[in-house]
Amino acid sequence: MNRLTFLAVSLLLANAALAEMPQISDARIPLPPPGSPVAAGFLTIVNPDEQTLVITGASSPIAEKVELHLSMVVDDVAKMQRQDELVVDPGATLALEHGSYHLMFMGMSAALAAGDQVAVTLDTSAGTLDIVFPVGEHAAGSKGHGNGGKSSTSDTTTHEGMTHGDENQEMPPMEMPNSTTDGQ
Amino acid sequence: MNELQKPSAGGLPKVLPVLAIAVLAASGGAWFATGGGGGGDDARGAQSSTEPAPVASSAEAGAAEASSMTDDELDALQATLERSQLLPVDFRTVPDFTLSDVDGNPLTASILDNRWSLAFFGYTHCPDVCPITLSVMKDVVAELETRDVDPMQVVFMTVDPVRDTAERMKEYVGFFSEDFVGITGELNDIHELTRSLGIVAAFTANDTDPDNYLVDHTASMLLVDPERRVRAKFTAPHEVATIVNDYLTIQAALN
Repeated sequence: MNRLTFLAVSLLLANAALAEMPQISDARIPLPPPGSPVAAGFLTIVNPDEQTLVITGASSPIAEKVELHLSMVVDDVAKMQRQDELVVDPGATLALEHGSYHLMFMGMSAALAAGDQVAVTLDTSAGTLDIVFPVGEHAAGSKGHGNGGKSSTSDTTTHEGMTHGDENQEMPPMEMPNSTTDGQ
Repeated sequence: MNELQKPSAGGLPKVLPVLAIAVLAASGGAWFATGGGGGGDDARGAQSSTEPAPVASSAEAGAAEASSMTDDELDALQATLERSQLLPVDFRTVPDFTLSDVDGNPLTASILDNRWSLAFFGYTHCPDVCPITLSVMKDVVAELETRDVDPMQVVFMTVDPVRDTAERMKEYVGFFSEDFVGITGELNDIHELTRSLGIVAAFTANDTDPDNYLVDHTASMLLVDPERRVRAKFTAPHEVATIVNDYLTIQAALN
Protein backbone atom coordinates (compact mmCIF):
# COMPACT_ATOMS: atom_id res chain seq x y z
CA MET A 1 0.00 0.00 0.00
CA ASN A 2 1.17 3.54 -0.61
CA ARG A 3 2.30 5.85 2.10
CA LEU A 4 -0.84 7.89 2.22
CA THR A 5 -3.02 4.84 2.70
CA PHE A 6 -0.68 3.56 5.31
CA LEU A 7 -0.86 6.88 7.13
CA ALA A 8 -4.62 6.99 6.92
CA VAL A 9 -4.98 3.46 8.20
CA SER A 10 -2.54 4.17 11.02
CA LEU A 11 -4.44 7.25 12.05
CA LEU A 12 -7.70 5.35 11.99
CA LEU A 13 -6.23 2.58 14.10
CA ALA A 14 -4.66 5.08 16.46
CA ASN A 15 -7.96 6.85 16.83
CA ALA A 16 -9.74 3.59 17.47
CA ALA A 17 -7.04 2.73 20.00
CA LEU A 18 -7.68 5.89 21.97
CA ALA A 19 -10.07 5.63 24.94
CA GLU A 20 -10.18 1.86 25.09
CA MET A 21 -12.87 1.16 27.63
CA PRO A 22 -12.23 -1.10 30.61
CA GLN A 23 -13.24 -4.70 30.11
CA ILE A 24 -15.23 -6.12 32.95
CA SER A 25 -15.71 -9.81 33.53
CA ASP A 26 -16.62 -12.32 36.20
CA ALA A 27 -18.58 -9.85 38.32
CA ARG A 28 -20.15 -11.74 41.22
CA ILE A 29 -21.41 -11.52 44.75
CA PRO A 30 -21.11 -14.74 46.71
CA LEU A 31 -24.34 -15.35 48.57
CA PRO A 32 -24.07 -13.68 51.97
CA PRO A 33 -25.49 -15.47 55.00
CA PRO A 34 -29.02 -14.37 55.87
CA GLY A 35 -29.09 -11.34 58.08
CA SER A 36 -25.57 -10.46 57.00
CA PRO A 37 -25.19 -6.71 57.18
CA VAL A 38 -22.51 -6.63 54.51
CA ALA A 39 -21.63 -8.34 51.26
CA ALA A 40 -18.52 -8.56 49.12
CA GLY A 41 -18.42 -7.97 45.38
CA PHE A 42 -15.69 -9.31 43.13
CA LEU A 43 -14.82 -8.80 39.47
CA THR A 44 -11.97 -8.68 37.00
CA ILE A 45 -11.05 -5.45 35.23
CA VAL A 46 -8.76 -5.22 32.23
CA ASN A 47 -7.49 -1.80 31.24
CA PRO A 48 -6.60 -2.00 27.55
CA ASP A 49 -6.05 1.76 27.35
CA GLU A 50 -2.81 3.69 27.42
CA GLN A 51 -4.06 5.74 30.32
CA THR A 52 -4.12 4.52 33.88
CA LEU A 53 -7.61 3.60 35.00
CA VAL A 54 -8.61 4.87 38.43
CA ILE A 55 -11.72 3.60 40.18
CA THR A 56 -12.78 6.15 42.71
CA GLY A 57 -16.02 4.79 44.04
CA ALA A 58 -19.06 2.63 43.62
CA SER A 59 -22.74 2.68 44.42
CA SER A 60 -25.71 0.37 44.28
CA PRO A 61 -29.39 0.63 45.03
CA ILE A 62 -29.16 -2.39 47.34
CA ALA A 63 -26.78 -0.72 49.79
CA GLU A 64 -26.45 2.59 51.60
CA LYS A 65 -22.90 2.70 50.44
CA VAL A 66 -20.29 0.68 48.64
CA GLU A 67 -16.69 0.99 49.72
CA LEU A 68 -13.50 -0.23 48.14
CA HIS A 69 -11.56 -2.53 50.44
CA LEU A 70 -8.44 -4.60 50.55
CA SER A 71 -8.33 -7.81 52.58
CA MET A 72 -4.99 -8.93 53.85
CA VAL A 73 -3.44 -11.24 56.38
CA VAL A 74 -0.49 -9.69 58.17
CA ASP A 75 1.31 -11.66 60.88
CA ASP A 76 -1.65 -14.04 61.11
CA VAL A 77 -4.14 -11.20 61.54
CA ALA A 78 -6.92 -10.73 58.99
CA LYS A 79 -7.52 -7.09 58.27
CA MET A 80 -9.48 -4.94 55.87
CA GLN A 81 -8.31 -1.59 54.72
CA ARG A 82 -10.60 0.87 53.02
CA GLN A 83 -9.16 2.13 49.76
CA ASP A 84 -9.75 5.62 48.41
CA GLU A 85 -9.25 4.33 44.91
CA LEU A 86 -8.21 1.33 42.88
CA VAL A 87 -5.64 1.77 40.15
CA VAL A 88 -5.29 -0.33 37.02
CA ASP A 89 -2.18 0.46 35.02
CA PRO A 90 -2.28 0.59 31.23
CA GLY A 91 -2.58 -2.89 29.84
CA ALA A 92 -2.96 -4.37 33.28
CA THR A 93 -5.61 -6.58 34.83
CA LEU A 94 -6.94 -6.07 38.33
CA ALA A 95 -8.82 -8.91 39.96
CA LEU A 96 -11.09 -8.10 42.85
CA GLU A 97 -11.23 -11.44 44.61
CA HIS A 98 -11.30 -13.22 47.93
CA GLY A 99 -8.35 -12.31 50.11
CA SER A 100 -7.63 -9.21 48.06
CA TYR A 101 -9.47 -6.17 46.76
CA HIS A 102 -13.24 -6.20 46.86
CA LEU A 103 -16.30 -4.01 46.89
CA MET A 104 -17.94 -3.93 50.29
CA PHE A 105 -21.67 -3.35 50.30
CA MET A 106 -22.76 -1.78 53.56
CA GLY A 107 -26.12 -0.88 55.01
CA MET A 108 -28.02 -3.29 52.82
CA SER A 109 -31.67 -2.57 52.34
CA ALA A 110 -32.72 -6.20 52.02
CA ALA A 111 -31.30 -9.68 52.14
CA LEU A 112 -29.79 -10.89 48.90
CA ALA A 113 -31.06 -14.08 47.32
CA ALA A 114 -29.25 -16.46 45.02
CA GLY A 115 -29.82 -15.41 41.43
CA ASP A 116 -30.44 -11.73 42.20
CA GLN A 117 -28.95 -9.40 39.63
CA VAL A 118 -27.45 -6.50 41.53
CA ALA A 119 -26.90 -3.22 39.71
CA VAL A 120 -23.64 -1.54 40.56
CA THR A 121 -22.20 1.71 39.22
CA LEU A 122 -18.44 2.14 39.27
CA ASP A 123 -17.07 5.67 39.17
CA THR A 124 -13.87 5.66 37.17
CA SER A 125 -11.51 7.91 35.29
CA ALA A 126 -12.96 6.40 32.12
CA GLY A 127 -16.49 7.38 33.09
CA THR A 128 -19.19 5.62 35.00
CA LEU A 129 -19.58 1.92 34.38
CA ASP A 130 -22.86 0.15 35.03
CA ILE A 131 -22.28 -3.47 35.85
CA VAL A 132 -24.60 -6.26 36.88
CA PHE A 133 -23.38 -8.54 39.65
CA PRO A 134 -25.20 -11.85 39.90
CA VAL A 135 -25.59 -13.23 43.40
CA GLY A 136 -24.21 -16.75 43.58
CA GLU A 137 -25.83 -19.90 44.83
CA HIS A 138 -23.36 -20.40 47.66
CA ALA A 139 -21.01 -18.49 49.85
CA ALA A 140 -17.90 -19.07 47.79
CA GLY A 141 -15.43 -21.71 48.83
CA SER A 142 -11.75 -21.05 48.64
CA LYS A 143 -10.16 -19.20 45.77
CA GLY A 144 -10.82 -21.91 43.26
CA HIS A 145 -7.46 -22.31 41.60
CA GLY A 146 -6.31 -25.86 41.95
CA ASN A 147 -7.42 -26.59 45.46
CA GLY A 148 -10.21 -28.54 47.03
CA GLY A 149 -12.54 -25.67 47.71
CA LYS A 150 -15.55 -24.76 45.67
CA SER A 151 -14.91 -22.04 43.16
CA SER A 152 -17.46 -19.29 43.18
CA THR A 153 -16.81 -18.84 39.50
CA SER A 154 -17.85 -22.35 38.61
CA ASP A 155 -20.86 -22.12 40.88
CA THR A 156 -22.18 -18.96 39.33
CA THR A 157 -21.37 -19.98 35.79
CA THR A 158 -23.16 -23.28 36.25
CA HIS A 159 -26.23 -21.74 37.72
CA GLU A 160 -26.30 -18.64 35.60
CA GLY A 161 -26.45 -20.67 32.43
CA MET A 162 -23.10 -19.45 31.19
CA THR A 163 -20.77 -21.78 29.40
CA HIS A 164 -19.07 -23.89 32.00
CA GLY A 165 -15.46 -22.92 32.43
CA ASP A 166 -15.85 -19.70 30.52
CA GLU A 167 -14.17 -17.21 32.76
CA ASN A 168 -14.04 -14.21 30.51
CA GLN A 169 -17.58 -13.94 29.36
CA GLU A 170 -18.57 -10.35 28.83
CA MET A 171 -21.27 -9.05 31.09
CA PRO A 172 -24.48 -7.68 29.55
CA PRO A 173 -23.95 -4.49 27.56
CA MET A 174 -22.86 -1.58 29.67
CA GLU A 175 -23.83 2.01 29.26
CA MET A 176 -20.72 3.98 28.44
CA PRO A 177 -21.87 7.55 28.05
CA ASN A 178 -18.39 8.86 27.45
CA SER A 179 -17.48 6.38 24.82
CA THR A 180 -16.92 7.87 21.40
CA THR A 181 -15.81 4.74 19.63
CA ASP A 182 -17.43 1.41 19.29
CA GLY A 183 -14.54 -0.49 17.91
CA GLN A 184 -14.27 -3.33 20.42
CA MET B 1 -32.45 3.99 57.14
CA ASN B 2 -30.16 1.42 58.54
CA GLU B 3 -32.36 -1.29 59.93
CA LEU B 4 -29.55 -3.19 61.50
CA GLN B 5 -29.80 -3.99 65.15
CA LYS B 6 -27.91 -1.33 67.04
CA PRO B 7 -26.45 -1.56 70.53
CA SER B 8 -28.66 0.22 73.00
CA ALA B 9 -26.42 3.20 73.53
CA GLY B 10 -25.45 3.48 69.87
CA GLY B 11 -22.32 2.48 67.98
CA LEU B 12 -18.98 3.94 68.68
CA PRO B 13 -19.72 6.11 71.74
CA LYS B 14 -20.64 3.05 73.76
CA VAL B 15 -17.74 1.10 72.40
CA LEU B 16 -15.18 3.85 72.89
CA PRO B 17 -14.18 3.10 76.49
CA VAL B 18 -14.08 -0.56 75.61
CA LEU B 19 -12.06 0.24 72.51
CA ALA B 20 -9.34 1.40 74.81
CA ILE B 21 -9.55 -1.85 76.72
CA ALA B 22 -9.63 -3.80 73.48
CA VAL B 23 -6.54 -2.05 72.17
CA LEU B 24 -4.80 -2.78 75.43
CA ALA B 25 -6.08 -6.32 75.31
CA ALA B 26 -4.89 -6.75 71.75
CA SER B 27 -1.48 -5.46 72.68
CA GLY B 28 -1.51 -7.67 75.72
CA GLY B 29 -2.63 -10.57 73.58
CA ALA B 30 0.11 -9.93 71.08
CA TRP B 31 2.62 -9.63 73.89
CA PHE B 32 1.35 -12.80 75.47
CA ALA B 33 1.23 -14.66 72.18
CA THR B 34 4.81 -13.77 71.38
CA GLY B 35 5.99 -15.35 74.58
CA GLY B 36 5.65 -12.55 77.07
CA GLY B 37 5.40 -13.79 80.62
CA GLY B 38 7.52 -16.81 79.88
CA GLY B 39 6.51 -20.30 78.97
CA GLY B 40 3.97 -19.41 76.34
CA ASP B 41 6.18 -19.89 73.35
CA ASP B 42 4.70 -20.32 69.92
CA ALA B 43 6.12 -23.25 68.05
CA ARG B 44 6.96 -22.06 64.55
CA GLY B 45 6.94 -25.04 62.28
CA ALA B 46 10.00 -27.18 62.45
CA GLN B 47 11.98 -24.66 64.44
CA SER B 48 10.25 -25.48 67.66
CA SER B 49 11.26 -23.52 70.70
CA THR B 50 13.33 -25.27 73.28
CA GLU B 51 11.07 -26.48 76.01
CA PRO B 52 12.36 -26.32 79.57
CA ALA B 53 11.52 -30.00 80.07
CA PRO B 54 10.54 -32.73 77.63
CA VAL B 55 6.83 -33.24 77.44
CA ALA B 56 7.16 -36.96 78.14
CA SER B 57 8.41 -36.26 81.63
CA SER B 58 5.28 -34.35 82.64
CA ALA B 59 3.19 -37.45 82.70
CA GLU B 60 0.65 -35.68 84.82
CA ALA B 61 -0.26 -33.58 81.78
CA GLY B 62 -2.98 -36.11 81.09
CA ALA B 63 -0.74 -38.26 78.97
CA ALA B 64 -1.86 -41.84 79.10
CA GLU B 65 -2.07 -41.63 75.35
CA ALA B 66 0.24 -40.86 72.49
CA SER B 67 -0.58 -37.14 72.69
CA SER B 68 2.53 -36.62 74.77
CA MET B 69 5.35 -36.31 72.36
CA THR B 70 8.97 -35.42 72.60
CA ASP B 71 10.23 -32.41 70.72
CA ASP B 72 11.75 -34.66 68.08
CA GLU B 73 8.47 -36.45 67.60
CA LEU B 74 6.67 -33.12 67.33
CA ASP B 75 9.21 -31.93 64.77
CA ALA B 76 8.81 -35.10 62.76
CA LEU B 77 5.04 -34.77 62.81
CA GLN B 78 5.25 -31.08 61.91
CA ALA B 79 7.29 -31.92 58.84
CA THR B 80 4.41 -34.01 57.52
CA LEU B 81 1.80 -31.29 57.89
CA GLU B 82 0.77 -29.19 54.92
CA ARG B 83 0.03 -25.91 56.59
CA SER B 84 -0.83 -26.30 60.26
CA GLN B 85 1.53 -25.43 63.05
CA LEU B 86 1.75 -27.94 65.86
CA LEU B 87 1.99 -26.57 69.35
CA PRO B 88 3.53 -28.11 72.45
CA VAL B 89 0.94 -29.95 74.53
CA ASP B 90 1.27 -27.39 77.32
CA PHE B 91 0.95 -24.37 75.02
CA ARG B 92 -2.49 -23.25 76.17
CA THR B 93 -5.46 -24.85 77.78
CA VAL B 94 -8.74 -23.11 77.16
CA PRO B 95 -9.75 -21.57 80.49
CA ASP B 96 -13.21 -21.90 81.94
CA PHE B 97 -15.60 -19.42 80.47
CA THR B 98 -19.27 -18.56 80.55
CA LEU B 99 -20.45 -17.03 77.31
CA SER B 100 -23.62 -17.37 75.29
CA ASP B 101 -24.84 -19.72 72.61
CA VAL B 102 -26.95 -18.63 69.66
CA ASP B 103 -30.14 -19.09 71.65
CA GLY B 104 -28.92 -16.75 74.37
CA ASN B 105 -28.29 -19.59 76.80
CA PRO B 106 -25.12 -19.85 78.87
CA LEU B 107 -22.32 -21.74 77.21
CA THR B 108 -19.24 -22.98 79.02
CA ALA B 109 -15.92 -24.54 78.09
CA SER B 110 -17.48 -27.94 78.67
CA ILE B 111 -18.52 -27.90 75.02
CA LEU B 112 -14.89 -28.68 74.27
CA ASP B 113 -14.74 -31.80 76.40
CA ASN B 114 -14.34 -35.25 74.88
CA ARG B 115 -14.16 -34.10 71.27
CA TRP B 116 -11.86 -32.31 68.89
CA SER B 117 -12.84 -28.76 67.98
CA LEU B 118 -11.64 -26.28 65.43
CA ALA B 119 -12.28 -22.74 66.61
CA PHE B 120 -12.44 -19.67 64.43
CA PHE B 121 -12.72 -16.07 65.61
CA GLY B 122 -14.42 -13.48 63.41
CA TYR B 123 -17.48 -11.29 63.09
CA THR B 124 -20.52 -10.94 60.86
CA HIS B 125 -19.61 -7.51 59.48
CA CYS B 126 -16.75 -9.28 57.75
CA PRO B 127 -17.75 -9.68 54.09
CA ASP B 128 -14.84 -11.71 52.80
CA VAL B 129 -12.67 -13.78 55.15
CA CYS B 130 -15.29 -15.01 57.61
CA PRO B 131 -17.96 -16.30 55.20
CA ILE B 132 -15.28 -17.95 53.10
CA THR B 133 -13.68 -19.63 56.11
CA LEU B 134 -16.99 -20.92 57.41
CA SER B 135 -17.85 -22.17 53.96
CA VAL B 136 -14.54 -23.99 53.79
CA MET B 137 -15.23 -25.49 57.20
CA LYS B 138 -18.58 -26.74 56.02
CA ASP B 139 -16.85 -28.60 53.20
CA VAL B 140 -14.17 -29.87 55.57
CA VAL B 141 -16.72 -31.37 57.94
CA ALA B 142 -18.60 -32.96 55.06
CA GLU B 143 -15.40 -34.56 53.80
CA LEU B 144 -14.34 -35.78 57.23
CA GLU B 145 -17.69 -37.44 57.71
CA THR B 146 -16.78 -39.79 54.89
CA ARG B 147 -13.58 -40.77 56.64
CA ASP B 148 -13.07 -42.99 59.63
CA VAL B 149 -11.96 -40.31 62.05
CA ASP B 150 -13.21 -38.49 65.12
CA PRO B 151 -15.65 -35.84 63.97
CA MET B 152 -14.54 -32.24 64.13
CA GLN B 153 -16.69 -29.74 66.01
CA VAL B 154 -16.60 -26.29 64.47
CA VAL B 155 -16.78 -23.34 66.83
CA PHE B 156 -17.22 -19.79 65.57
CA MET B 157 -16.78 -17.12 68.20
CA THR B 158 -17.52 -13.52 67.46
CA VAL B 159 -14.96 -10.93 68.50
CA ASP B 160 -17.62 -8.27 67.95
CA PRO B 161 -20.40 -9.30 70.34
CA VAL B 162 -21.85 -5.77 70.54
CA ARG B 163 -23.14 -6.07 66.98
CA ASP B 164 -23.16 -9.87 66.85
CA THR B 165 -26.01 -10.70 69.17
CA ALA B 166 -27.17 -14.28 69.70
CA GLU B 167 -29.95 -13.70 67.20
CA ARG B 168 -27.59 -12.50 64.51
CA MET B 169 -25.16 -15.32 65.20
CA LYS B 170 -27.92 -17.89 64.99
CA GLU B 171 -28.90 -16.77 61.50
CA TYR B 172 -25.35 -16.34 60.33
CA VAL B 173 -23.81 -19.53 61.67
CA GLY B 174 -26.92 -21.56 60.94
CA PHE B 175 -26.59 -20.66 57.26
CA PHE B 176 -23.40 -22.72 57.10
CA SER B 177 -24.41 -25.55 59.40
CA GLU B 178 -26.80 -26.19 62.23
CA ASP B 179 -24.00 -28.17 63.87
CA PHE B 180 -21.57 -25.29 64.06
CA VAL B 181 -21.36 -23.81 67.53
CA GLY B 182 -21.79 -20.04 67.48
CA ILE B 183 -20.59 -18.17 70.53
CA THR B 184 -21.22 -14.62 71.63
CA GLY B 185 -21.41 -12.95 75.02
CA GLU B 186 -20.31 -9.93 76.99
CA LEU B 187 -17.58 -7.95 75.29
CA ASN B 188 -15.24 -8.11 78.26
CA ASP B 189 -15.71 -11.87 78.68
CA ILE B 190 -15.10 -12.50 75.00
CA HIS B 191 -11.94 -10.46 74.99
CA GLU B 192 -10.66 -11.96 78.21
CA LEU B 193 -10.92 -15.35 76.52
CA THR B 194 -9.34 -14.29 73.24
CA ARG B 195 -6.52 -12.61 75.12
CA SER B 196 -5.87 -15.78 77.11
CA LEU B 197 -5.63 -17.78 73.88
CA GLY B 198 -3.35 -15.31 72.13
CA ILE B 199 -6.10 -14.41 69.69
CA VAL B 200 -6.01 -10.89 68.32
CA ALA B 201 -9.20 -8.86 68.17
CA ALA B 202 -8.65 -5.20 67.45
CA PHE B 203 -11.26 -2.63 66.58
CA THR B 204 -10.50 -0.21 63.78
CA ALA B 205 -12.60 2.93 63.68
CA ASN B 206 -14.12 3.64 60.28
CA ASP B 207 -13.33 7.29 59.68
CA THR B 208 -16.39 7.88 57.54
CA ASP B 209 -18.90 5.83 59.51
CA PRO B 210 -18.57 5.13 63.25
CA ASP B 211 -21.17 2.37 63.27
CA ASN B 212 -19.46 0.44 60.53
CA TYR B 213 -16.18 -0.16 62.30
CA LEU B 214 -13.91 -2.97 61.21
CA VAL B 215 -12.32 -5.62 63.39
CA ASP B 216 -8.90 -7.08 62.81
CA HIS B 217 -8.86 -10.67 63.99
CA THR B 218 -6.54 -13.65 64.05
CA ALA B 219 -6.69 -15.51 60.76
CA SER B 220 -5.66 -18.90 62.13
CA MET B 221 -8.04 -21.45 63.53
CA LEU B 222 -7.20 -23.25 66.74
CA LEU B 223 -7.41 -27.03 67.05
CA VAL B 224 -8.49 -27.97 70.56
CA ASP B 225 -8.23 -31.54 71.85
CA PRO B 226 -10.73 -33.42 74.05
CA GLU B 227 -9.03 -32.03 77.13
CA ARG B 228 -9.37 -28.40 76.07
CA ARG B 229 -5.71 -28.12 75.09
CA VAL B 230 -4.81 -26.04 72.06
CA ARG B 231 -2.73 -28.44 69.93
CA ALA B 232 -2.32 -26.69 66.60
CA LYS B 233 -2.95 -23.59 64.56
CA PHE B 234 -4.47 -23.99 61.13
CA THR B 235 -3.13 -20.99 59.27
CA ALA B 236 -4.48 -19.02 56.32
CA PRO B 237 -5.19 -19.41 53.48
CA HIS B 238 -7.83 -21.89 54.50
CA GLU B 239 -8.35 -24.61 51.95
CA VAL B 240 -10.50 -27.70 52.29
CA ALA B 241 -7.99 -30.33 51.20
CA THR B 242 -5.20 -28.88 53.30
CA ILE B 243 -7.28 -28.75 56.46
CA VAL B 244 -8.68 -32.23 55.91
CA ASN B 245 -5.23 -33.72 55.37
CA ASP B 246 -3.65 -32.01 58.33
CA TYR B 247 -6.52 -32.95 60.62
CA LEU B 248 -6.23 -36.59 59.55
CA THR B 249 -2.48 -36.55 60.11
CA ILE B 250 -2.78 -34.98 63.55
CA GLN B 251 -5.58 -37.31 64.56
CA ALA B 252 -3.54 -40.31 63.61
CA ALA B 253 -0.58 -39.11 65.63
CA LEU B 254 -2.13 -37.53 68.68
CA ASN B 255 -5.42 -39.26 69.26
